[in-house]
Formats: sequence, structure tokens, C-alpha cells
Amino acid sequence: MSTDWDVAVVGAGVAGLSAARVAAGAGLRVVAYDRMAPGGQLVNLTSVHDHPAPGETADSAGLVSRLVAEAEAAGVVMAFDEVTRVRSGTPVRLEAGAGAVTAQVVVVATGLGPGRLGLPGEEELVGRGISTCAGCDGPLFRGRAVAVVGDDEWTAEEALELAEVASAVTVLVPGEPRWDADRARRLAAAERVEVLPGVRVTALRGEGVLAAVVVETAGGPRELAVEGLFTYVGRRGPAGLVEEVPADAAGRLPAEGLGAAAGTVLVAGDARSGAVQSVAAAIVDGTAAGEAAVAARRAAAGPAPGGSASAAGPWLRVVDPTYGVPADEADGAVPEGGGADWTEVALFSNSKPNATELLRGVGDRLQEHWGLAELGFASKPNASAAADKDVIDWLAQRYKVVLVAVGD
Amino acid sequence: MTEVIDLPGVTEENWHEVAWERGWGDGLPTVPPTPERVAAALAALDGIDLELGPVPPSGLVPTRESFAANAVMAGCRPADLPVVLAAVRALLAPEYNLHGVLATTHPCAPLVIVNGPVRTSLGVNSGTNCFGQGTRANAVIGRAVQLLTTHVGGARPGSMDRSTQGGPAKYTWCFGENEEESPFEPFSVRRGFAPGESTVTVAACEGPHNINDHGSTTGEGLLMTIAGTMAQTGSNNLYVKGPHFLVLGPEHAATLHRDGWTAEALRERLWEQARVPVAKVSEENQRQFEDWGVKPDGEFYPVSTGPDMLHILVAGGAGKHSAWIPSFGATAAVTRPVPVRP
Amino acid sequence: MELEKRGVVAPLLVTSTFLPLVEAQAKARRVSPRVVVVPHPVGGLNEQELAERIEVAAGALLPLADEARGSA
Repeated sequence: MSTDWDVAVVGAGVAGLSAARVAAGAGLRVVAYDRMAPGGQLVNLTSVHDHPAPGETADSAGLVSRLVAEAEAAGVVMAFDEVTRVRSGTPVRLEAGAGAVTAQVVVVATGLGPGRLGLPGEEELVGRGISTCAGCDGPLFRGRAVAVVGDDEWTAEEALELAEVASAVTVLVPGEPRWDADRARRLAAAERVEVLPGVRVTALRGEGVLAAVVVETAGGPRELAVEGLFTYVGRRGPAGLVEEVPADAAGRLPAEGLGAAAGTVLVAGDARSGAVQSVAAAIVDGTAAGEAAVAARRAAAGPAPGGSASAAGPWLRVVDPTYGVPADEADGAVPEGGGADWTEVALFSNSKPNATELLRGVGDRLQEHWGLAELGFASKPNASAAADKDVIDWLAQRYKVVLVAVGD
Repeated sequence: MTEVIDLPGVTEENWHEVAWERGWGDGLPTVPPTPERVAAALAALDGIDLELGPVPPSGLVPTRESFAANAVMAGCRPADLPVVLAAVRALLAPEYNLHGVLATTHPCAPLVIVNGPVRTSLGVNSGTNCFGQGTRANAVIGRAVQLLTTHVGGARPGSMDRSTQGGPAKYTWCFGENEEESPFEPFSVRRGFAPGESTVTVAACEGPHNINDHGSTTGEGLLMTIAGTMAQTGSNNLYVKGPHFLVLGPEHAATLHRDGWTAEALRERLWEQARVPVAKVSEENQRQFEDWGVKPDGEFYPVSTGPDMLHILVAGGAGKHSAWIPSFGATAAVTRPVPVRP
Repeated sequence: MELEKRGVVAPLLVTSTFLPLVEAQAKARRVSPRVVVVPHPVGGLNEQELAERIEVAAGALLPLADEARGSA
């Protein structure tokens, strides 16, 4: 992959993908980085509310698929890697896991980190009761009591989603709720939901897993026995990511980032100071950042001959002399079959809750269907880490068919 | 990644700056590979499949358009493309070892030798100053080959191209054999191609080392000078071995021929005569040769592995100069026919 | 996806939420994985729900596996 780009987008969420699509559509060479999956905040949402229009609902996975497809069709190259530092200069330098790259323009669209209360012991309980994704982890709390901390539309939607599985949902609002009347009505109508305004979480209880939270209410401290706590406050922006750019109190960065003199760094989406956290706003913000990136590149290319302004300046269309297609694609070759026999079938689990059970269940059906004596099994200990090379080597050499679990 | 790129704010006038900023080119100005120019160049390859494999180190296979874009950037005319294609096909033959060639610290360049009638139709210089500047075909064909491997292969100087000092031949290094003034059969014919068939031969070589002999009037005299030039201690051919070239000026060639020397006999004789005395190689370097599995033949180190590794041809104009061209070693001389449109 | 590149038939059981990730990574790696989509989520399901997911996944997987074996 190239290490020198016209535009590098950090964070392939709604804003980042929108910016990348616009810049690539204008003929710039664009890479979009994401440390895990494209989609940003949408990955944590089962459905998106008030999109495409107020009161409507969209399937978030479908929306992410469409944003990624549009960006890639425009020529955006997706890179799954974490950008750890953006250094000013011309070009701007980005430090990523796989090495440094340079770009003429950088769009920071990292969004915000997960909600955190800033309480002792909190980090240890993340994934052991504390979550920020009702769609992902809600089913783990079937028939159990949970609490939700937050005051916005998103908090309300997450609470409503949790109400479908949990035995009780207590919504802890630090001040007054900011959600709209419709959501207020739906929350009030939900049998298992209780909204407590003006409360502050002051402590977490639990050995290894969350057992209760302590809240400060107008009537004094109160302990709530909950096994799940979904936090939507205290989300921080990418403070410190960009050299020389100061963050606001919430760790978010100013829109203009760095001026052209120090290399162009733009900020879009939820990572931007004062951003409105909605899908529509992220699309508008990202599109504007993409257009600003194009304008910056045009300006940097200098005035057209004859001194005419460059903003509407000339364009030169050329055939990319570095272009090539990977060899396996060029000759259309299908990789040769693994050496093993068709009776050699294995399961490969990502160790997510129930992934192994699902694999076993589906594997049993295949075993029965093909009349196999036995199935092999392997797993990776951590769903977000890449699979161990030795395990892949072993599976590739030993088996003909490997059933793999992805996702949760 | 799209194949066609719109560059905002770019004109033919500021193209070079922009191209250079993107890491395109060799430092000299290039011709913008507009789709129109690329299409015009590709017309010369109508009905001809590229038949190109992956270019190391990127492993990408050039498309017709990106192949032609590099030729256009180098300044090629459409008619030059079949010769460039033959050269690139030869370069991608496994025995040429392009990956090793691109990544070595050695200053080798892709040497491109043209034989046959295409020399005349394209104006490839095989006479006076044929290794030097001043002939369009020589300049652009050699340059196109180099640009393609740099761009599609991604072997940019400093990153993948690790040459310690490089060499001026890496800009462009192409000439024709002076078949008209050669007393021998054309080089391509000796390599098994039909007379009248145009071919391109490539090998990874250093620039030419001059062999000046104004005094000798006999073949024996000339051979002493030639062997002396070839028997040098600092060439890869001494221990990495591989192909090397003796390019005789027409006057030296005529003298050798008059005294009864054939190309084959010259190979045999120089294998015996062009040798480096062991005492001229430092003891440390002798040990390093031994690590490579190379031991002296008695009191001498021969140049390469046998007479067949020396390729003899004729090029240049009037004058008493010839040239020896040592190679990278871990490469082969590869010849491919110039494709002809059906 | 690495396994498929190496000649192993490796169907991916993907929850619907992760489908975009798989699609994007496949594109980046220039492979076309065999994918069996399972409704999200899988974690936290009771036995009955899990059995339903298995039923859906097996329904898609078995023909896919037969086809892979048949065309080999």
C-alpha cells in the first residue's frame, strides 16, 4: 500500500467515510483508517433513529455497508490500523501500527471514546457489567436489572432497547433529560423503565463483576443492585492525537485543526468541538471536511498559468503510472485446494459469548450431513486480536474445511 | 484505487512539480500520461497481449494503461512500445531476478540491447555515441523500462532500491547492436533467433567500462588490453559470477576478425586470459569469496563461471574504443522477440 | 480469509452487525469469503434462541459446503 496520500482520514465512521468519499470522488488519493471496523458509532447501534428523516428508523449495518461501498467505489482505500499520532508538517505525518505514512491533508474523524464515569475500579469492570452498547451486550442481561447513565436521545434509545430484555432499567440522568417528548412518552410507557433525574453515580460495587452502583440523589445516597451499567456520559474526543492542537474540556478538537501553514489537519464528526451527535450532522460535517480537503489541495497546487484563481482552476486527467492489479486477480487463478481430505473439518471460534456454542451446533449439523467421524477445534483467545499465525498454519495444513465464527 | 486520476489545479506546465511530489518519475521532467496520449500509445500494441506477470516488489501486474502510461511519461512514441514491452517481458523472466536486481546495493541498471530491423525503424543508435545522450529511441526506451519497475513495482530509490551509489545508467541504458559493421553474425542470431527478427536482450549490468587501445594493430595485442580490463578485482563477476558483455567498437572488431577471431573463439580465449592473480585480492576478500563458495583456479580467479557467460557484440562508431560491461552477477541475459501486431 | 487464500474452504459465520466489517476487510484483502450471516446478537441468547440461530446458519451452510465439495 502507498505510504504517501493526498488525504488520510482517521476514523472510518459516518463523518470519516463521508469525507473520504467526497475527496476520492474529486480524484484525490485517499486512505481511510479505522482500528477495527468501519462504521464508527453505528457498529454499536442496532438501528439508527431519526434517519433518514426525523421519526424514521434505519438499519445501522445496512447504512454502514452503503457508506463503505460508496467510499470504496469512489476510490477510497480502507486501512485497518490504529493511527496513534498525527504530526504537523507538510506533508502531515501519521504514525500507525504498520508504520508511518504521509498525507497532504488529514481529516480527524475519530468520534468519541466510550462513555466513562471516571470512578475507581471502572476500567476493571468494563466488559464485566459495564458496557456502552445495548445492542451488543443487552442480551447478556436477560432477566436482570441494569442501569443506564446519560441524558440524551441516544441514552433514551438504548434504555428502550434494554427494556426489551432486562428485568428492570433505571435511567440515571445527571441533570434533566434532554430527549424529546416522544422518547419521554415511550420511556414513561415502558413497564420496566424508571427514570431518575438529578442523580450522580458516586461508586461502583462488585468483586470481579458489577453487583451494584451507589448514586447520590436529592434524598441522599442510595445503592442500586444492578448487574449491568450502560454509560453514555463522559465520552472524550481524541485529545492529544494531533500534535500542537489543543482540545476542549471534552477532549474534542477545533474544526480547523491546523492551518495550511503547518500542514492541513481538519476535524469532522463527533470529534469536533460543538458537534451535534447525529448521523445527519456527521454526514454534513464529513462532506464539508471532504470538500475542504479538495479545496486545500487545489489551493496548494498553486494558481493556474496566466494567474487565474485556482479555486475553479484547471484539472489534468492522467493514467496512474503506479497502477497494477494483484497477481492472483490478474490471472484469475483460484487458490489450489488445501492438501487435506474433505473429511478433515474443523471449527475456529473467536471466543465471544456463545460463538463456540453456535459453531458446535452448526458443526454438528455438518458432521451429521457429511457423516464425519470427528471435528477439529481451535480458538483465538481474544476476539479483537488477529489470529495466531501458528494456529492458522496448523489449520491450513491439517484441514480441508474450517468453519469460522466472526462477530458477536 | 482508480486507474485514471483527476489532479486538481494541475496543468501541463506545473505537472512536473505535482508528479514529483507524488513520487513519480526519475527526477527529470516527464510527459503527463493523459488518457489521450496513453490511448494513442496503446494503438501500437493493438492485438498484442502484454503477457506480463507481477512486478516485484509490489507484486502488482501492470494493466495495458499503466504500462503505456510509463512509456508516455518516459517520452516514448507509440512505435517504441513493442520494444519496451519486449524488454519488460524479458525483465520479468525469473532468471533475470528482478527482485534481487531492484533491492541490491550494487549499482546495476537494466541494460537493454536491441537487435534487428526495429533499430532502423525506430532510429535506435548503434553507432557513434550509442551509450550516450542524443538519441531519442535509446533515451526513452531505457527510461520507460526503469520507470515501469519504479512505479508499478514500487522500487523507489531509498526504500526498496538500496543501491549504495547507483549509477547514471539507471536513468536509461539502451543501445542497438551495430549489425551493419559487425564482422560476426548478429548477437540475436547467435542466441537462436532468426535473421531479420527484432529482439531485445536485457541483463542487470553496470555502466560500460572503457577499453582504450589505440596502439595494438593485431588481435593478440587487443586481447591483452581487453583481458586486462576484464581482470579487475572490484567486480561482482569475480565471485557472484553471472553474465558479462564485451561490446567491441567496429574498428577493434575488424582487427580481431582480420586476424581470424570468431566470437566463439574470443569467448574461449578470454575465459583463459582474463584472470585475476590471487595475490591481487586481499586475504579478507579471498575469505569472503570462499564464503560464497568461490575458490581460485590455481593462481588465478577467473571472471564468471565459464566462456558461455561472456556475451560478445559490436556497437559504436569510428575510433579505437570498446567496452566491457560487468553484471550484477545474480542475473541472466534474457532475450525476447519484439512483438509484432497481427 | 487467510485460510481461503491458502486453499482451505473457510466459511465465516458472521453476525449481521459484523457483515460490513467482513465485507470491507475482504475487499481490502481482495478475497471473496464464503459468508453465512447469522442474526445479531449471538451473545446472551437462551438455549431456544441459540437453537434457532443454529438452524438458520446450518440451513445456509450445508448447501454451501456441499457446493464447495462438489466443485472440487
